[in-house]
Amino acid sequence: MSRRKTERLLNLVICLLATRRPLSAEQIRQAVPGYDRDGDEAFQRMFERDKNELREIGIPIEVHRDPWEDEPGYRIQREAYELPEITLEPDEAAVLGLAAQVWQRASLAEAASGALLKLRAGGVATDAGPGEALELRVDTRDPSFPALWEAVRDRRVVRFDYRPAAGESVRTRTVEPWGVISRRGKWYVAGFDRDRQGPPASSGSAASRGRSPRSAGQGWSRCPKGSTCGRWSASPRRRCRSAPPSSRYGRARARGCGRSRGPYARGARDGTRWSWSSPTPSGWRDGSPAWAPT
Amino acid sequence: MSSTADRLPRLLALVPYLMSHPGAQVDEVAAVFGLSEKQLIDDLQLVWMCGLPGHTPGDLIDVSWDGGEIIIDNADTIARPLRLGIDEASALLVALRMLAATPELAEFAHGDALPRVVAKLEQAAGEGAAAVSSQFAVDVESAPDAAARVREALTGRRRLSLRYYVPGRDEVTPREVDPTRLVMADGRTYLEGWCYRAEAMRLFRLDRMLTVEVLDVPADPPAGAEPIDVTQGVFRPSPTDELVVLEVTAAGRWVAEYYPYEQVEELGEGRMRITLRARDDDWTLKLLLRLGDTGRIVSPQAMAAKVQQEAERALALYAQAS
Repeated sequence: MSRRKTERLLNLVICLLATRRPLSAEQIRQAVPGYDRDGDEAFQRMFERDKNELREIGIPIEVHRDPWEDEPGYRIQREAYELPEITLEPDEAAVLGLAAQVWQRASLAEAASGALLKLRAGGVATDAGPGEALELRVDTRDPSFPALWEAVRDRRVVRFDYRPAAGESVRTRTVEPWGVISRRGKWYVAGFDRDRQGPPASSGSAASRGRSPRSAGQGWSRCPKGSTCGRWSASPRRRCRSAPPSSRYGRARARGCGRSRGPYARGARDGTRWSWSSPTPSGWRDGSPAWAPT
Repeated sequence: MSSTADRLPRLLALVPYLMSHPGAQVDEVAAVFGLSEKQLIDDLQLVWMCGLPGHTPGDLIDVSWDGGEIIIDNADTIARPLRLGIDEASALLVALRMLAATPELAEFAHGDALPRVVAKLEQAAGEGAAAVSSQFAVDVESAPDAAARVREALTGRRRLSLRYYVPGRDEVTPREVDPTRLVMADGRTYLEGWCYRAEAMRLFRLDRMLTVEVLDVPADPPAGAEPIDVTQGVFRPSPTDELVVLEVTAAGRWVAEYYPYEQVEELGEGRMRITLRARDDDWTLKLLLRLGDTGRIVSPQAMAAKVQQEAERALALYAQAS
């Protein structure tokens, strides 16, 4: 991002936060330096890109469509933008520092350190934790991890090629991921296998393996607060009983990347490949975003 | 956080940081944000060019860093940081829940503070992060009996006497260890320390300690003892360990998922040739016996005879029984 662009975006954020009334694109063009020099079409494209970039970093831009106006209006609501007031006692700050340390050099390292930085910026004293006497490390080198994190976060169905523990054949699975757990350093996904759904009596092959779905699960929408699937602590097998019906556990292929650690170090093979399945049918992706994109 | 794409999020945290820490020093702030002093000054210069629409001197943000002391003014619009993103809050919440679910770690980490932090963070982050983070879990195997004494020795800097189980040789060995760290990796907790028996730094699994005794001797690991690097996993074979080549069927492919290897080659129908480094013959022998008819050794040749001999010894037990 060029310096000029960073300046323009920062001025845009300040402008949209400062305004009480939603501003039209034209008003924004007049108010924010950096837009003024361009023609109409160039400005429109630039403004669209800028809005998208701000949304990508989590800035909630509101769009108002007033029936009396031709053009939509934009603004950022302070309450939606700002980190709420938060104060931590010294022991709480120490715990938070320790929690951030868990993801060091893992795929969530940036997210964890970004969170700490925001809290510090908000005046929270965070601590580095108990320092050298304790090292906590959760391995997220599994190449499936980032895809699963996103799928659970965005409530999306995943499709992957999966080879069962002792099987020869690789099958493509389409799964609504309910949750992801790390056990003994390996990641597992639990979810509803769409291809195997149906009345329990017909799921003979699954029953013979002792992991029969008890009832046909419908598209799962949201883990209810305090429900069993939200508090996993037992082993995947045991958890089968307390998880929602028709749960099915698949090993996300583990220990993959890095120096000669696993199959993925060798490039493509017939292991697990992830892809998004889309569009997602109704009933599955019902978590509506905090703000609607234009 | 020094690449240019991260610059806007950084500025949106930098301004509130400076507002809540008036008079902060350039070098301190640079360290907090992971920047060089030059990069930080460049950020300050950029901020100084920005402000409210109109952009008259009265609208612009005012920043000065005379004598290394940073003063910021007229930046009320962005005086609070942006709220936590779902990834950011969830990363912390998943880690906090892991700590809460593992008593030995929780106690190390001011256990009673954990639920308070989780509640505050959930409130600050909103419903989305709470929901997402409850769908991720990191399971850590607990060994509470050993943990209390290991923690006592670590905090009091005292030597430990252990009876430690070594499954590779199926024996219990007495050890005296000067503890250096508690390490949680691959879902297990380990004590790192200087082992007087091995005369080296070692990791000891807490759940393999049969007895733990805190000695009345101060811990005094040698000055040159280096911490063990666990970033690539706890079990790392040495480059001098012997190379072993195995061929496994589809049912034996788990070997490549569980152990670090040097090379794998697909042989069709799910079969695979795996080259890995074995720490000793006993380990290789046990692996092959465990594989049963789902894997065989290709090299070294001498091991094949040993495996056959061991398998026959086991079979002989059944011949006598029938």
